[in-house]
Amino acid sequence: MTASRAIECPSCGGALAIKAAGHSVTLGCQYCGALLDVAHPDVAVISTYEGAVRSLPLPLGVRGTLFETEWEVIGALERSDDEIGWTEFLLFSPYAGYRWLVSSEGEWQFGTMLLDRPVNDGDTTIWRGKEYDLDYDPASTTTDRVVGEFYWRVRAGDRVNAATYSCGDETLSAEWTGDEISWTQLIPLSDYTIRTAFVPPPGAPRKTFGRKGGPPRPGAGAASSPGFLSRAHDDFMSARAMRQDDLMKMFLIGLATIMASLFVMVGFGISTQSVENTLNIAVDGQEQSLTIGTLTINRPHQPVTISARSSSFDNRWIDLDYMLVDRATQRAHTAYGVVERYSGTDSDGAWTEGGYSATVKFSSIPRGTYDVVVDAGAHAWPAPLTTSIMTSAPPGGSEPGPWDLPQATSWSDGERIELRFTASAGGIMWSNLWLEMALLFGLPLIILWWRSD
Amino acid sequence: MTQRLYLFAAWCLLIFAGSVAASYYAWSPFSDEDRGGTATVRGPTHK
Repeated sequence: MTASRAIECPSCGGALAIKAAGHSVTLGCQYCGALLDVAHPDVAVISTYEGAVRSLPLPLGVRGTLFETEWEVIGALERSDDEIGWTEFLLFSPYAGYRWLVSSEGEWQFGTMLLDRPVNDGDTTIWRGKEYDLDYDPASTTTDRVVGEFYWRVRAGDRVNAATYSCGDETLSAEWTGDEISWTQLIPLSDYTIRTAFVPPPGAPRKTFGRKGGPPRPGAGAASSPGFLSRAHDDFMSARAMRQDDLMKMFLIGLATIMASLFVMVGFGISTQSVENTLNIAVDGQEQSLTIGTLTINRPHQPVTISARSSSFDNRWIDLDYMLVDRATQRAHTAYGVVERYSGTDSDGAWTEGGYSATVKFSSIPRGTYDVVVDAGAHAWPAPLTTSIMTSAPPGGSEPGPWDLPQATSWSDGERIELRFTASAGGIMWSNLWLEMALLFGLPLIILWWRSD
Repeated sequence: MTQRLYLFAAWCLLIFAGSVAASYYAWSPFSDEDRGGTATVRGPTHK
Protein backbone atom coordinates (compact mmCIF):
# COMPACT_ATOMS: atom_id res chain seq x y z
CA MET A 1 0.00 0.00 0.00
CA THR A 2 1.31 3.44 -0.88
CA ALA A 3 0.71 6.36 1.46
CA SER A 4 -0.40 9.83 0.42
CA ARG A 5 1.63 12.86 1.33
CA ALA A 6 0.32 16.39 1.72
CA ILE A 7 2.38 19.31 0.45
CA GLU A 8 1.85 22.99 -0.24
CA CYS A 9 2.51 24.39 -3.68
CA PRO A 10 5.47 26.75 -3.33
CA SER A 11 4.16 28.78 -6.21
CA CYS A 12 0.52 29.41 -5.27
CA GLY A 13 0.15 27.93 -1.79
CA GLY A 14 -2.48 25.44 -2.89
CA ALA A 15 -2.86 22.28 -0.82
CA LEU A 16 -1.75 19.26 -2.82
CA ALA A 17 -1.67 15.58 -2.06
CA ILE A 18 0.85 13.23 -3.57
CA LYS A 19 -1.10 10.04 -4.18
CA ALA A 20 1.81 7.79 -4.99
CA ALA A 21 4.33 9.15 -2.54
CA GLY A 22 7.65 7.46 -2.97
CA HIS A 23 6.99 6.77 -6.64
CA SER A 24 6.10 10.19 -8.03
CA VAL A 25 8.95 12.54 -8.87
CA THR A 26 7.07 15.29 -10.71
CA LEU A 27 3.86 17.05 -9.76
CA GLY A 28 1.96 19.59 -11.81
CA CYS A 29 -0.05 21.87 -9.50
CA GLN A 30 -3.69 21.55 -10.37
CA TYR A 31 -4.36 25.14 -9.25
CA CYS A 32 -1.64 27.22 -10.84
CA GLY A 33 -0.04 24.74 -13.20
CA ALA A 34 3.44 25.07 -11.69
CA LEU A 35 5.61 22.01 -12.19
CA LEU A 36 7.08 20.79 -8.89
CA ASP A 37 9.90 18.44 -7.99
CA VAL A 38 8.49 16.20 -5.27
CA ALA A 39 11.26 13.60 -5.21
CA HIS A 40 12.94 15.44 -2.35
CA PRO A 41 11.51 16.54 0.99
CA ASP A 42 11.85 20.19 0.01
CA VAL A 43 9.43 20.63 -2.82
CA ALA A 44 10.89 22.89 -5.48
CA VAL A 45 9.32 24.65 -8.41
CA ILE A 46 10.68 23.36 -11.68
CA SER A 47 8.71 25.76 -13.83
CA THR A 48 5.63 27.93 -13.59
CA TYR A 49 2.69 27.70 -15.94
CA GLU A 50 1.73 30.82 -17.81
CA GLY A 51 -1.99 31.30 -18.16
CA ALA A 52 -5.06 29.92 -16.52
CA VAL A 53 -5.36 26.25 -15.76
CA ARG A 54 -8.04 24.84 -18.00
CA SER A 55 -10.44 22.14 -16.98
CA LEU A 56 -9.78 18.54 -17.90
CA PRO A 57 -12.26 15.98 -19.18
CA LEU A 58 -11.53 14.03 -15.98
CA PRO A 59 -10.68 15.95 -12.81
CA LEU A 60 -7.59 14.95 -10.88
CA GLY A 61 -8.34 12.87 -7.82
CA VAL A 62 -11.43 11.25 -9.28
CA ARG A 63 -11.65 7.52 -8.76
CA GLY A 64 -13.23 4.91 -10.94
CA THR A 65 -13.36 1.15 -11.36
CA LEU A 66 -12.21 -0.32 -14.63
CA PHE A 67 -11.46 -3.99 -15.19
CA GLU A 68 -12.43 -4.71 -11.58
CA THR A 69 -9.70 -2.45 -10.22
CA GLU A 70 -10.21 0.94 -8.61
CA TRP A 71 -8.02 3.60 -10.18
CA GLU A 72 -7.36 7.19 -9.20
CA VAL A 73 -6.55 9.85 -11.75
CA ILE A 74 -3.30 11.34 -10.47
CA GLY A 75 -1.90 13.08 -13.51
CA ALA A 76 -2.79 14.43 -16.91
CA LEU A 77 -0.68 15.26 -19.94
CA GLU A 78 -1.94 17.28 -22.84
CA ARG A 79 -0.04 16.22 -25.91
CA SER A 80 -0.21 16.89 -29.62
CA ASP A 81 1.42 16.21 -32.94
CA ASP A 82 1.13 18.17 -36.15
CA GLU A 83 -2.48 17.13 -36.68
CA ILE A 84 -4.38 16.51 -33.45
CA GLY A 85 -4.14 16.90 -29.69
CA TRP A 86 -5.15 14.50 -26.98
CA THR A 87 -5.06 14.05 -23.23
CA GLU A 88 -3.40 11.21 -21.38
CA PHE A 89 -4.48 10.56 -17.80
CA LEU A 90 -2.19 8.65 -15.49
CA LEU A 91 -4.17 6.21 -13.36
CA PHE A 92 -2.78 4.81 -10.17
CA SER A 93 -3.78 1.90 -7.99
CA PRO A 94 -1.68 0.98 -4.97
CA TYR A 95 -2.29 -2.67 -5.80
CA ALA A 96 -1.99 -2.69 -9.60
CA GLY A 97 0.38 0.19 -10.29
CA TYR A 98 0.05 2.64 -13.17
CA ARG A 99 -2.16 2.64 -16.23
CA TRP A 100 -3.12 5.21 -18.85
CA LEU A 101 -6.45 6.55 -19.97
CA VAL A 102 -6.19 8.33 -23.30
CA SER A 103 -8.85 10.77 -24.50
CA SER A 104 -8.67 11.80 -28.13
CA GLU A 105 -11.49 13.69 -29.83
CA GLY A 106 -14.07 12.13 -27.55
CA GLU A 107 -12.73 8.59 -27.86
CA TRP A 108 -11.22 6.75 -24.90
CA GLN A 109 -8.55 4.09 -24.65
CA PHE A 110 -7.19 2.23 -21.66
CA GLY A 111 -3.44 1.82 -21.80
CA THR A 112 -1.19 -0.76 -20.19
CA MET A 113 2.56 -0.45 -20.40
CA LEU A 114 4.13 -3.57 -21.90
CA LEU A 115 6.84 -5.41 -20.06
CA ASP A 116 7.64 -7.70 -22.98
CA ARG A 117 8.85 -5.93 -26.07
CA PRO A 118 7.02 -6.53 -29.37
CA VAL A 119 9.03 -7.58 -32.41
CA ASN A 120 9.02 -4.76 -34.90
CA ASP A 121 9.42 -5.44 -38.61
CA GLY A 122 8.93 -2.25 -40.57
CA ASP A 123 5.23 -1.61 -41.00
CA THR A 124 4.18 -4.55 -38.86
CA THR A 125 4.75 -5.49 -35.27
CA ILE A 126 4.20 -8.86 -33.68
CA TRP A 127 3.25 -9.12 -30.04
CA ARG A 128 2.16 -12.32 -28.35
CA GLY A 129 1.44 -13.99 -31.68
CA LYS A 130 -0.70 -11.18 -33.06
CA GLU A 131 0.31 -9.04 -35.98
CA TYR A 132 -0.25 -5.29 -35.75
CA ASP A 133 -0.16 -2.99 -38.78
CA LEU A 134 1.30 0.49 -38.75
CA ASP A 135 -1.47 3.14 -38.68
CA TYR A 136 0.48 6.24 -39.63
CA ASP A 137 4.04 7.18 -40.27
CA PRO A 138 5.92 7.90 -37.05
CA ALA A 139 5.40 11.46 -35.87
CA SER A 140 6.97 13.73 -33.31
CA THR A 141 4.66 14.44 -30.39
CA THR A 142 4.96 17.24 -27.88
CA THR A 143 3.85 17.43 -24.28
CA ASP A 144 1.97 20.73 -24.07
CA ARG A 145 0.81 20.72 -20.47
CA VAL A 146 1.48 18.76 -17.30
CA VAL A 147 -0.94 18.54 -14.38
CA GLY A 148 -0.71 16.17 -11.44
CA GLU A 149 2.01 13.76 -10.48
CA PHE A 150 4.16 11.41 -12.50
CA TYR A 151 6.69 8.71 -11.87
CA TRP A 152 9.25 10.22 -14.20
CA ARG A 153 10.46 13.72 -14.83
CA VAL A 154 8.17 15.24 -17.35
CA ARG A 155 7.67 18.83 -18.37
CA ALA A 156 5.87 20.81 -21.01
CA GLY A 157 7.85 20.90 -24.21
CA ASP A 158 9.12 17.33 -23.97
CA ARG A 159 9.16 15.69 -27.38
CA VAL A 160 9.16 12.04 -28.31
CA ASN A 161 8.67 10.09 -31.52
CA ALA A 162 5.54 7.98 -31.63
CA ALA A 163 3.83 5.45 -33.86
CA THR A 164 0.75 3.28 -33.45
CA TYR A 165 0.04 -0.20 -34.75
CA SER A 166 -3.45 -1.71 -34.90
CA CYS A 167 -4.90 -5.19 -34.92
CA GLY A 168 -8.68 -5.06 -34.91
CA ASP A 169 -9.79 -2.80 -32.08
CA GLU A 170 -6.50 -3.13 -30.24
CA THR A 171 -3.64 -0.67 -30.64
CA LEU A 172 0.01 -0.79 -29.70
CA SER A 173 1.62 2.59 -29.14
CA ALA A 174 5.37 2.95 -29.38
CA GLU A 175 7.24 6.02 -28.12
CA TRP A 176 10.95 6.46 -28.30
CA THR A 177 13.69 8.95 -27.65
CA GLY A 178 17.23 7.98 -28.46
CA ASP A 179 17.69 4.31 -27.60
CA GLU A 180 14.82 4.13 -25.16
CA ILE A 181 11.49 2.83 -26.40
CA SER A 182 8.30 2.17 -24.47
CA TRP A 183 5.30 0.21 -25.66
CA THR A 184 1.71 0.57 -24.49
CA GLN A 185 -1.28 -1.60 -25.28
CA LEU A 186 -4.44 0.46 -25.85
CA ILE A 187 -7.96 -0.93 -25.59
CA PRO A 188 -11.00 1.17 -26.54
CA LEU A 189 -13.55 2.09 -23.90
CA SER A 190 -16.91 3.67 -24.50
CA ASP A 191 -17.72 7.16 -23.33
CA TYR A 192 -20.54 5.62 -21.33
CA THR A 193 -18.10 3.32 -19.53
CA ILE A 194 -15.90 6.26 -18.58
CA ARG A 195 -18.81 8.41 -17.46
CA THR A 196 -20.23 5.68 -15.27
CA ALA A 197 -16.88 4.50 -13.92
CA PHE A 198 -15.49 7.83 -12.78
CA VAL A 199 -17.52 9.86 -10.33
CA PRO A 200 -16.14 13.16 -9.02
CA PRO A 201 -15.23 13.20 -5.34
CA PRO A 202 -17.92 14.65 -3.07
CA GLY A 203 -17.90 18.44 -3.14
CA ALA A 204 -15.79 18.64 -6.25
CA PRO A 205 -17.07 20.97 -8.96
CA ARG A 206 -18.87 19.10 -11.69
CA LYS A 207 -16.92 18.78 -14.84
CA THR A 208 -17.81 17.56 -18.25
CA PHE A 209 -16.71 14.00 -18.89
CA GLY A 210 -15.64 13.39 -22.43
CA ARG A 211 -17.61 15.06 -25.17
CA LYS A 212 -21.09 14.53 -23.84
CA GLY A 213 -23.01 15.97 -20.89
CA GLY A 214 -22.13 15.64 -17.25
CA PRO A 215 -21.23 12.62 -15.20
CA PRO A 216 -23.88 10.55 -13.48
CA ARG A 217 -24.69 11.87 -10.04
CA PRO A 218 -23.52 9.74 -7.14
CA GLY A 219 -26.37 7.96 -5.50
CA ALA A 220 -28.84 9.02 -8.13
CA GLY A 221 -31.41 6.47 -9.18
CA ALA A 222 -32.52 5.16 -12.50
CA ALA A 223 -34.03 8.50 -13.43
CA SER A 224 -30.58 9.99 -13.89
CA SER A 225 -29.00 7.03 -15.64
CA PRO A 226 -28.46 7.37 -19.40
CA GLY A 227 -31.40 6.29 -21.47
CA PHE A 228 -31.40 3.55 -24.04
CA LEU A 229 -30.82 5.96 -26.93
CA SER A 230 -27.93 7.64 -25.14
CA ARG A 231 -26.38 4.31 -24.34
CA ALA A 232 -26.93 3.02 -27.88
CA HIS A 233 -25.32 6.20 -29.21
CA ASP A 234 -22.34 5.75 -26.94
CA ASP A 235 -21.99 2.11 -27.90
CA PHE A 236 -22.19 3.02 -31.58
CA MET A 237 -19.61 5.76 -31.20
CA SER A 238 -17.27 3.51 -29.29
CA ALA A 239 -17.65 0.53 -31.58
CA ARG A 240 -14.30 -0.43 -32.91
CA ALA A 241 -15.29 0.44 -36.45
CA MET A 242 -16.11 4.01 -35.39
CA ARG A 243 -13.10 4.40 -33.21
CA GLN A 244 -10.19 6.65 -34.04
CA ASP A 245 -9.60 9.75 -36.06
CA ASP A 246 -12.03 11.33 -38.44
CA LEU A 247 -14.61 8.80 -39.59
CA MET A 248 -17.44 10.42 -37.66
CA LYS A 249 -16.45 13.82 -38.99
CA MET A 250 -16.57 12.41 -42.50
CA PHE A 251 -20.13 11.23 -41.94
CA LEU A 252 -21.09 14.62 -40.53
CA ILE A 253 -19.54 16.52 -43.42
CA GLY A 254 -21.26 14.16 -45.86
CA LEU A 255 -24.57 14.65 -44.08
CA ALA A 256 -24.19 18.42 -44.14
CA THR A 257 -23.48 18.25 -47.87
CA ILE A 258 -26.56 16.13 -48.47
CA MET A 259 -28.72 18.55 -46.49
CA ALA A 260 -27.35 21.52 -48.42
CA SER A 261 -27.93 19.72 -51.73
CA LEU A 262 -31.47 18.81 -50.72
CA PHE A 263 -32.13 22.45 -49.90
CA VAL A 264 -30.88 23.50 -53.35
CA MET A 265 -32.89 20.72 -55.08
CA VAL A 266 -36.08 21.77 -53.38
CA GLY A 267 -35.39 25.41 -54.24
CA PHE A 268 -34.89 24.69 -57.94
CA GLY A 269 -37.59 22.01 -58.05
CA ILE A 270 -40.53 24.08 -56.87
CA SER A 271 -43.39 23.63 -59.29
CA THR A 272 -44.19 26.80 -61.23
CA GLN A 273 -47.23 25.56 -63.17
CA SER A 274 -49.50 22.54 -63.15
CA VAL A 275 -52.21 21.15 -65.47
CA GLU A 276 -54.61 18.25 -65.05
CA ASN A 277 -56.80 16.13 -67.30
CA THR A 278 -58.68 12.84 -67.25
CA LEU A 279 -58.84 9.98 -69.73
CA ASN A 280 -61.27 7.07 -69.78
CA ILE A 281 -59.72 4.17 -71.62
CA ALA A 282 -61.05 0.80 -72.73
CA VAL A 283 -59.08 -2.30 -71.79
CA ASP A 284 -57.70 -4.04 -74.87
CA GLY A 285 -59.31 -1.33 -76.97
CA GLN A 286 -57.80 1.25 -79.26
CA GLU A 287 -54.91 3.35 -78.02
CA GLN A 288 -56.21 6.78 -77.09
CA SER A 289 -54.53 10.15 -77.24
CA LEU A 290 -55.06 13.05 -74.88
CA THR A 291 -53.59 16.52 -74.57
CA ILE A 292 -53.18 16.93 -70.86
CA GLY A 293 -52.59 20.67 -71.14
CA THR A 294 -50.03 23.30 -71.94
CA LEU A 295 -47.01 24.04 -69.78
CA THR A 296 -44.76 27.05 -69.97
CA ILE A 297 -41.15 26.64 -68.89
CA ASN A 298 -39.94 29.99 -67.62
CA ARG A 299 -36.44 29.09 -66.50
CA PRO A 300 -33.54 28.26 -68.83
CA HIS A 301 -34.05 24.60 -67.92
CA GLN A 302 -36.61 22.89 -65.77
CA PRO A 303 -37.77 19.35 -65.11
CA VAL A 304 -41.32 18.31 -65.98
CA THR A 305 -43.13 15.80 -63.83
CA ILE A 306 -46.18 13.88 -65.05
CA SER A 307 -48.08 11.62 -62.72
CA ALA A 308 -50.91 9.28 -63.65
CA ARG A 309 -53.37 7.86 -61.17
CA SER A 310 -55.97 5.33 -62.15
CA SER A 311 -59.21 3.96 -60.83
CA SER A 312 -59.09 0.53 -59.27
CA PHE A 313 -58.30 -2.46 -61.50
CA ASP A 314 -56.53 -5.75 -61.30
CA ASN A 315 -54.29 -7.76 -63.65
CA ARG A 316 -54.10 -4.92 -66.17
CA TRP A 317 -51.38 -2.67 -67.43
CA ILE A 318 -51.61 0.70 -69.11
CA ASP A 319 -48.88 1.84 -71.47
CA LEU A 320 -48.33 5.59 -71.37
CA ASP A 321 -46.34 7.32 -74.11
CA TYR A 322 -45.79 10.91 -73.13
CA MET A 323 -44.72 13.72 -75.41
CA LEU A 324 -43.77 17.28 -74.66
CA VAL A 325 -44.20 19.12 -77.96
CA ASP A 326 -42.49 22.50 -78.20
CA ARG A 327 -45.00 24.83 -79.85
CA ALA A 328 -42.27 26.97 -81.35
CA THR A 329 -40.13 24.25 -82.91
CA GLN A 330 -42.49 21.24 -82.89
CA ARG A 331 -39.67 19.27 -81.37
CA ALA A 332 -40.98 16.48 -79.13
CA HIS A 333 -39.46 15.12 -75.92
CA THR A 334 -40.73 11.61 -75.30
CA ALA A 335 -40.90 9.33 -72.28
CA TYR A 336 -42.59 6.10 -71.39
CA GLY A 337 -44.54 5.25 -68.28
CA VAL A 338 -46.72 2.38 -67.20
CA VAL A 339 -49.40 1.84 -64.60
CA GLU A 340 -49.77 -1.81 -63.74
CA ARG A 341 -51.16 -3.93 -60.99
CA TYR A 342 -51.41 -7.68 -60.70
CA SER A 343 -52.59 -10.08 -58.05
CA GLY A 344 -52.92 -13.81 -57.65
CA THR A 345 -52.54 -16.74 -55.32
CA ASP A 346 -49.82 -19.33 -55.17
CA SER A 347 -48.54 -21.85 -52.67
CA ASP A 348 -47.36 -19.02 -50.43
CA GLY A 349 -50.78 -17.40 -50.42
CA ALA A 350 -52.12 -14.24 -52.01
CA TRP A 351 -49.79 -11.78 -53.65
CA THR A 352 -50.06 -8.40 -55.33
CA GLU A 353 -47.67 -6.48 -57.52
CA GLY A 354 -47.55 -2.94 -58.85
CA GLY A 355 -49.88 -0.05 -58.05
CA TYR A 356 -52.41 2.40 -59.37
CA SER A 357 -50.11 5.31 -60.06
CA ALA A 358 -46.89 6.10 -61.88
CA THR A 359 -44.72 9.18 -62.20
CA VAL A 360 -42.50 10.12 -65.10
CA LYS A 361 -39.90 12.87 -65.06
CA PHE A 362 -38.42 14.76 -67.98
CA SER A 363 -35.06 16.31 -67.28
CA SER A 364 -33.54 19.52 -68.56
CA ILE A 365 -36.48 20.80 -70.61
CA PRO A 366 -35.45 24.15 -72.15
CA ARG A 367 -37.45 27.34 -71.87
CA GLY A 368 -40.61 27.38 -74.03
CA THR A 369 -44.28 26.48 -74.24
CA TYR A 370 -45.13 22.80 -74.50
CA ASP A 371 -48.22 20.75 -75.23
CA VAL A 372 -48.25 17.74 -72.93
CA VAL A 373 -49.66 14.79 -74.86
CA VAL A 374 -50.17 11.19 -73.79
CA ASP A 375 -50.99 8.09 -75.84
CA ALA A 376 -52.48 5.48 -73.57
CA GLY A 377 -53.35 1.84 -74.14
CA ALA A 378 -54.80 -0.49 -71.50
CA HIS A 379 -54.18 -4.24 -71.67
CA ALA A 380 -55.37 -7.30 -69.81
CA TRP A 381 -53.10 -9.94 -68.32
CA PRO A 382 -52.81 -12.72 -69.30
CA ALA A 383 -52.59 -11.20 -72.76
CA PRO A 384 -54.99 -12.55 -75.39
CA LEU A 385 -53.44 -15.19 -77.57
CA THR A 386 -52.26 -13.97 -80.94
CA THR A 387 -54.36 -14.44 -84.03
CA SER A 388 -51.96 -16.95 -85.54
CA ILE A 389 -52.30 -19.21 -82.54
CA MET A 390 -56.03 -18.75 -82.30
CA THR A 391 -56.62 -19.71 -85.88
CA SER A 392 -53.99 -22.37 -86.36
CA ALA A 393 -55.10 -25.93 -86.39
CA PRO A 394 -53.39 -28.43 -84.11
CA PRO A 395 -51.11 -31.06 -85.62
CA GLY A 396 -53.18 -33.53 -87.56
CA GLY A 397 -55.35 -30.97 -89.26
CA SER A 398 -58.36 -31.07 -86.99
CA GLU A 399 -60.20 -27.98 -85.85
CA PRO A 400 -58.82 -26.05 -82.89
CA GLY A 401 -59.95 -27.48 -79.61
CA PRO A 402 -61.45 -25.51 -76.78
CA TRP A 403 -58.13 -25.63 -74.93
CA ASP A 404 -56.64 -23.43 -77.65
CA LEU A 405 -59.19 -20.67 -77.36
CA PRO A 406 -58.10 -17.51 -75.59
CA GLN A 407 -60.17 -16.90 -72.58
CA ALA A 408 -58.55 -13.63 -71.54
CA THR A 409 -60.29 -11.69 -74.29
CA SER A 410 -63.64 -12.07 -72.63
CA TRP A 411 -62.33 -10.92 -69.25
CA SER A 412 -61.94 -7.32 -70.33
CA ASP A 413 -65.04 -6.93 -72.50
CA GLY A 414 -66.39 -3.46 -71.97
CA GLU A 415 -64.10 -2.71 -69.06
CA ARG A 416 -62.85 0.86 -68.82
CA ILE A 417 -60.21 2.44 -66.62
CA GLU A 418 -60.17 6.09 -65.67
CA LEU A 419 -56.77 7.81 -65.60
CA ARG A 420 -56.13 11.21 -64.04
CA PHE A 421 -52.99 12.97 -65.24
CA THR A 422 -51.19 15.82 -63.53
CA ALA A 423 -48.32 17.52 -65.34
CA SER A 424 -46.23 20.17 -63.63
CA ALA A 425 -43.23 22.27 -64.55
CA GLY A 426 -40.82 21.44 -61.77
CA GLY A 427 -39.98 18.47 -59.57
CA ILE A 428 -37.16 17.03 -57.56
CA MET A 429 -34.84 14.51 -59.16
CA TRP A 430 -34.57 12.16 -56.20
CA SER A 431 -32.31 9.84 -58.15
CA ASN A 432 -29.69 12.62 -58.12
CA LEU A 433 -29.87 12.66 -54.34
CA TRP A 434 -29.41 8.87 -54.09
CA LEU A 435 -26.45 9.08 -56.47
CA GLU A 436 -24.95 11.88 -54.39
CA MET A 437 -25.40 9.89 -51.20
CA ALA A 438 -23.63 6.93 -52.79
CA LEU A 439 -20.74 9.14 -53.87
CA LEU A 440 -20.47 10.88 -50.51
CA PHE A 441 -20.96 8.00 -48.12
CA GLY A 442 -19.25 5.35 -50.22
CA LEU A 443 -15.79 6.11 -48.90
CA PRO A 444 -16.73 6.36 -45.19
CA LEU A 445 -18.80 3.19 -45.49
CA ILE A 446 -15.91 1.34 -47.12
CA ILE A 447 -13.66 2.45 -44.24
CA LEU A 448 -16.33 1.39 -41.76
CA TRP A 449 -16.69 -2.00 -43.41
CA TRP A 450 -12.92 -2.45 -43.63
CA ARG A 451 -12.47 -1.64 -39.96
CA SER A 452 -15.27 -3.89 -38.79
CA ASP A 453 -13.97 -6.77 -40.86
CA MET B 1 -8.17 17.93 -39.22
CA THR B 2 -6.34 15.14 -40.93
CA GLN B 3 -5.23 15.26 -44.52
CA ARG B 4 -7.78 12.59 -45.34
CA LEU B 5 -10.52 14.78 -43.90
CA TYR B 6 -9.39 17.74 -45.98
CA LEU B 7 -9.50 15.58 -49.09
CA PHE B 8 -12.94 14.29 -48.19
CA ALA B 9 -14.20 17.83 -47.56
CA ALA B 10 -12.88 18.84 -50.97
CA TRP B 11 -14.65 15.84 -52.50
CA CYS B 12 -17.90 16.88 -50.76
CA LEU B 13 -17.49 20.39 -52.11
CA LEU B 14 -17.02 19.01 -55.62
CA ILE B 15 -20.11 16.82 -55.33
CA PHE B 16 -22.13 19.71 -53.95
CA ALA B 17 -21.06 21.93 -56.85
CA GLY B 18 -22.15 19.17 -59.23
CA SER B 19 -25.45 18.89 -57.42
CA VAL B 20 -26.09 22.63 -57.68
CA ALA B 21 -25.23 22.58 -61.39
CA ALA B 22 -27.50 19.56 -61.97
CA SER B 23 -30.33 21.29 -60.12
CA TYR B 24 -29.88 24.50 -62.08
CA TYR B 25 -29.89 22.68 -65.42
CA ALA B 26 -32.56 20.23 -64.18
CA TRP B 27 -30.27 17.43 -65.30
CA SER B 28 -30.43 13.85 -64.14
CA PRO B 29 -28.72 10.69 -65.40
CA PHE B 30 -31.84 8.75 -64.49
CA SER B 31 -34.65 10.67 -66.19
CA ASP B 32 -37.45 8.74 -67.89
CA GLU B 33 -36.92 10.15 -71.34
CA ASP B 34 -36.16 7.89 -74.26
CA ARG B 35 -36.87 4.80 -72.23
CA GLY B 36 -38.24 1.75 -74.06
CA GLY B 37 -41.81 2.13 -75.27
CA THR B 38 -44.91 0.02 -75.52
CA ALA B 39 -43.70 -2.76 -77.76
CA THR B 40 -43.50 -5.47 -75.10
CA VAL B 41 -46.16 -7.47 -73.36
CA ARG B 42 -46.03 -6.90 -69.67
CA GLY B 43 -47.08 -9.00 -66.71
CA PRO B 44 -46.21 -9.74 -63.11
CA THR B 45 -42.68 -10.72 -62.21
CA HIS B 46 -43.95 -12.57 -59.16
CA LYS B 47 -42.77 -16.17 -58.84
